[in-house]
This record gives sequence, C-alpha cells and structure tokens, in this order.
Amino acid sequence: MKQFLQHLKTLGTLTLKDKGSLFWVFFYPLILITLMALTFGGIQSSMDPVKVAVEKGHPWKVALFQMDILDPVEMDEQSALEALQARDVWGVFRSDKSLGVAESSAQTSVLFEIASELQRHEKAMRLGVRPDYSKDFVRTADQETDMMLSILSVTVGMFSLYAYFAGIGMVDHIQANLSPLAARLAVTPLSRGSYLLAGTAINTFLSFAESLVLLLYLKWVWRVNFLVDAPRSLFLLFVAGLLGLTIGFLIGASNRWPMKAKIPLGIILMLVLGAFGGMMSTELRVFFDRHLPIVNRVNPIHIIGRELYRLNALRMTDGYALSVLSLFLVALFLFGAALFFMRPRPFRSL
Amino acid sequence: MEMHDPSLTVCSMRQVVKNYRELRALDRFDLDICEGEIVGLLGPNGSGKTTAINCILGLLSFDEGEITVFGEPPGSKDPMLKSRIGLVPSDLAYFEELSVVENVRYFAGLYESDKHRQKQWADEAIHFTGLEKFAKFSTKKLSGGLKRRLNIACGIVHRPRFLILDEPTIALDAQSRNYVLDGVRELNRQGSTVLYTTHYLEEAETLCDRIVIIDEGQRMAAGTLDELIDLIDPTESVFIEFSEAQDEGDLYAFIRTLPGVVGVEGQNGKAIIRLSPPGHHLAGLLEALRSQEVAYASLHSELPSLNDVFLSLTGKALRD
Repeated sequence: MKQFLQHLKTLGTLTLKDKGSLFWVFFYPLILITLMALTFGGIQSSMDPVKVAVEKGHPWKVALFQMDILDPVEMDEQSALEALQARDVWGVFRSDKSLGVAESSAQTSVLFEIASELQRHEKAMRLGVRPDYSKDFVRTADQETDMMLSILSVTVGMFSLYAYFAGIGMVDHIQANLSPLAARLAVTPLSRGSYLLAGTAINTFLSFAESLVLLLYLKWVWRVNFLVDAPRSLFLLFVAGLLGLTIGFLIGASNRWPMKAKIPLGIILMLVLGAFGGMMSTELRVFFDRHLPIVNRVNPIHIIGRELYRLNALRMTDGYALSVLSLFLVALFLFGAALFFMRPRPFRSL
Repeated sequence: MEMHDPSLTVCSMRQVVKNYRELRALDRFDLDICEGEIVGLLGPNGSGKTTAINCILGLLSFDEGEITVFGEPPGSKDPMLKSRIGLVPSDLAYFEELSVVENVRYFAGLYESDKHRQKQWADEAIHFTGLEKFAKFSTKKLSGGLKRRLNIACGIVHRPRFLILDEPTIALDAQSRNYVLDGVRELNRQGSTVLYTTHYLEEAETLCDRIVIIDEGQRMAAGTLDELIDLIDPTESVFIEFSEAQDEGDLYAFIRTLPGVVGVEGQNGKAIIRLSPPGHHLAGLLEALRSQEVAYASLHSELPSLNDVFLSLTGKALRD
C-alpha cells in the first residue's frame, strides 16, 4: 500500500510536470475541435429542431410534421422563398419534392438527409418493397440525421482513448528491454502491480478529466451538449479512458519498437478507427455499416461515438449497458494480455 | 591466479556463454567477486562487459554456464536479495521530469517504507554525490557531470552490499571523474563490494583490487595489477632523444652490452631501450651513457602498465 501511494505521488508529479503530455491531452483536443468547427462553418447544436418551410400541398407534409428534429412551418411558395432569403428557415421543402437551401451547414445537411431518405422510401414503396421495421436500420438513419453531431461524437470518442499514450509511457518505465530506466527499476524491489495500479488510477482519471473538459468546452463554447445524459456519458468516457490506457499497455509491452514509433502508431490507429467510425465524414461509416458491418461493430471509437450520440441526441439508452460492458471487458482482457508480456523475465537482448 | 574464499563470494560466473544470434557476447566467461573487493572489469567497447552485468542482474538470459549472486541464481524476485544489490547503469536512468531530490527519494522509497529513513538515505546520497546545491534542480538543467552523479546517487541510495557500476565515468571531465572514483573508494571502505566496468586503464589501475580483462567475451586474464604485469614478459621502456648526431650502430651495440638491457631500437636520433626486470637498471643506464659522454635532449622511462598487459594478451592497445 505504501509503495502504491508512493507511485501515485511520483506518477502524479511526473504527469503534472510533463507539459508536453498535458498539451496533447488537454489542449490539442480543444484546438482540433475548434479547427473542425471553423472548417464546418460553426457548430450550432442541431439538437434544437431545424426550422424549415414546407410548401402547401407537399406530399410528405404529414411525415415532415411528425419529425421531432424538424420545426416545420407550412407556407405558400412566395412566403417560403422570402423566409429562406431572410434566413428565418434553414430550407424549403418544395411541393415538387425538391429541397431548397440558402447555405451549407449542419442543419441543411439534416434536411438533405431527410429529403433523400424520404425519396428512397417512396421509391421503395413504389417498387412494392415493404421495409422491415424490426431491423435496426432506423438507428443508422437516426445517426445520419445530424452529420456534425455524429462527427463530433466520434471525435470525442477518439480523444477519450488518448490515455493510450500514457499507457505506452508507463510500460516504457517498467519493461526492462524497453529503456535504461526500466532495466534499472527491474533490479529494484519495485512492485509492478502497485506501479501499474497507481498509473492506471492516475491516467484513467486524467483521461476522464480530459473528456469532461472537452464536453464542457463543446457545451459552453459551441453549444453542443453531450452532457444531456451526463452520468451515463461520463461513465462511458471513464471506461473509454481505461480502454485507451490498456491498448497502450498492450502495444507498449508486446514489441520492442521505440516510443517514437509507438506514438505515431497510436495516432494512426486512432485516426483510422475514427475515420471508419465517421469522424472525417459519415459516408465512410455508412459504407462500413452497409458493406463491412463487423469493422464498426468492433471499432471502439465507433462504439463510444455511437453511444454518446444516442444518449445525448436521441436520448436512447438501450444497448448502452452492453456497449459499456463490452468496452470494459475488452480493457480487462488487454490488461491481462499486457501483464503477460510485462511479466518479469530475462530477455534475449536489451 | 585468483585467490578467493568461496564462503565470501558475492557473485560468481562459471563458464557463461551468451549469444546474440550469431554473435557470441560471452564465451565461457568466468568471474568471481568476493566480499569487500573492488573488481574492475576492463575491456574495450563491445567486449562483453555490460552483457556480463546484465546476466548477473538477471536482465539477460544466457545460453550456458552458471551464475550466482549471494548464492542465488540471477533475477531472484526476493526483495531482500534485490535490496542488497545496487546498479549504476552506463546510460542515465532516472525520471527526467522529476527534480534531483524527487528522483533520489523515489529510489529510496523502493527499498525503504519508513519516510523518515527514506529522507535520511536520500539526503546522505545527495551529500555523498555532492548534489546538495542542485537538490531542487530539474534534472534537465543539470550538466553532464551532475547527471552522472545523480545516476550514481540513485544507485547507492539504499546502501547496497553489492554495487555494480557500469562505466560510470563515461564522458565525464577529469574533476567529476575523480569525484566519482573517490566516492567508489569511500563506498567500498564503508563495506560495499564493487564491480566496476571501464575501458579506462587508469581507473582500473588506481581503483581496483583485482582486474578482470575481457575481450570478445572471453576472460583474458584476472588478478591484481602486479599479478597481471607478471603474466607478460615485463620490460621498462626508456625513451631517449639524442641532442647530437651519434653513430647509432656503435652506440646501440654498446647499450646492448649493459646489464638489464634486453633490447634497443631506434633511428633519426631517437631510441627506445628495453630494461628487464623493470625498475632496477635505469640508474646504471644513465651512468653508462654519461661515461660515454652521450648527450640527450630528453629521456623518460615507462614502467610496464596495464596497457602492456592488454596489448600482450589481446594484440591490441586499450587507450583512452
């Protein structure tokens, strides 16, 4: 216990004094989110219904007025055009089933997705296809309704795994064939268990703090609220931090690549998983959902992003417990596998 | 050649073979270190010194042979046994983000749970290495010599009975090097048995009770400095630069007739005269040269050194 507390103190001091890591953990996510927001022309929280004009006599009027995500107003053609020009509405659903918008934004993306979906649906009905509503496609469709939120939720998911970097750093301290310090510590009575436990406690907490700061920044600065269901969202991100750390443990312990290789490996891995999960554009995620569903079913960033979105944008909790449990079990498995690689033993070479 | 009491053996390596794929790093290597000794492991870079240490510490596996440390096989997980061993690696190995005192206290805490004693040990190690003025400095701000001292402080803080120093003076200035050597002597005086690896001849000559010469993974010789010198055919070399033109043929013929002279070679007014046994015939040589009115601009003599031993045993010189 005393050694655990000593490690806790030392590793805590190390973390606080490592300004480079603090930058990457706390400031880099904020900078990237800000850049993304600027690139996409601002993030208005589209959790607020999107105000839209629906021309009188529109064949989809009933469907459009039933959608919670829309705030439709029925207008004649001229009024709708004037409202659009005055930016009173984000778009106009014209009676000929076309969509008119005045600018590109997350809101107009939502309108575009709805229009496309309704057209596809209508075409399917014409061809005699009867959609099977017992299937899970509604969930996918729901997520497609707000591209920006979806992208942001996956981005937060990616950052929640940033404890990876702390994980590889910790292993570099205690696996004798990885660094001179580790070789030195290996011949001391250092308890690896208490060291790893202390490091896990500190870095999971740090990762949690990073996620919280990111969510508060999104909420207060960009008006995007991923804290609608705060307890579940935060617990999800806590477990995600643990998972990121254990991924770092495993990758750190399972090979002798130097830190300067393991760090870019982590960055690439997370960017790729993030991209598959829809961080760059939802189209890639939809592609995998449709053609290679297994990829995103096991993609932790997709799972975290999806649950964040569902919890906060759709207020849905079904499947949450299973997702969190899956992430936790994977973390536990990775921790065990990493411990196997980290077991004290003589090496063939140092 | 090696004289030791097995009951006092701290560390023993017997016929140890270590291969890195095709490269044989240790080749039937033997080493015995007895309680209270300073044993120098002397060899050029890549000779197997650090490999030997890492095998002793259980960090590296080995292919054949036997190693014991305090009677136990290497790599024992027994914390008591680990507490008896201290390591000062050749690479700097501490937490760069911590200050000097934080580092030393951290290492003290690995061996001692009592906070008061941790502090006392850390203070002593900092004092011993002369780092008091820099105790609160970030390690990143220390000079190379001070970093080496911190590296030592972290290795000796728990007062190990068996201290292994792997080239601790590498890249140090003369002042810091002397500081380290004095420190090692003091630790030995306080009871630590020391294994000291180096490729600096002077360090091995002045510091070590016994020296083991290693080259290409093989133990070439072991013993005290005198014993090692006795291993070779020792001669004293006298270097002369004549101040006047000489009939070198006649002069060298005359010198060869002098007692103790075993060889003369030279040209262009410079000569090297070999005397044996060393330390006995220089005065006679000078007297004979004076009697022949041979004038010289400079003359100096070199007694046989560890380098001669190394040269004789390995066929190559080991100079700084």
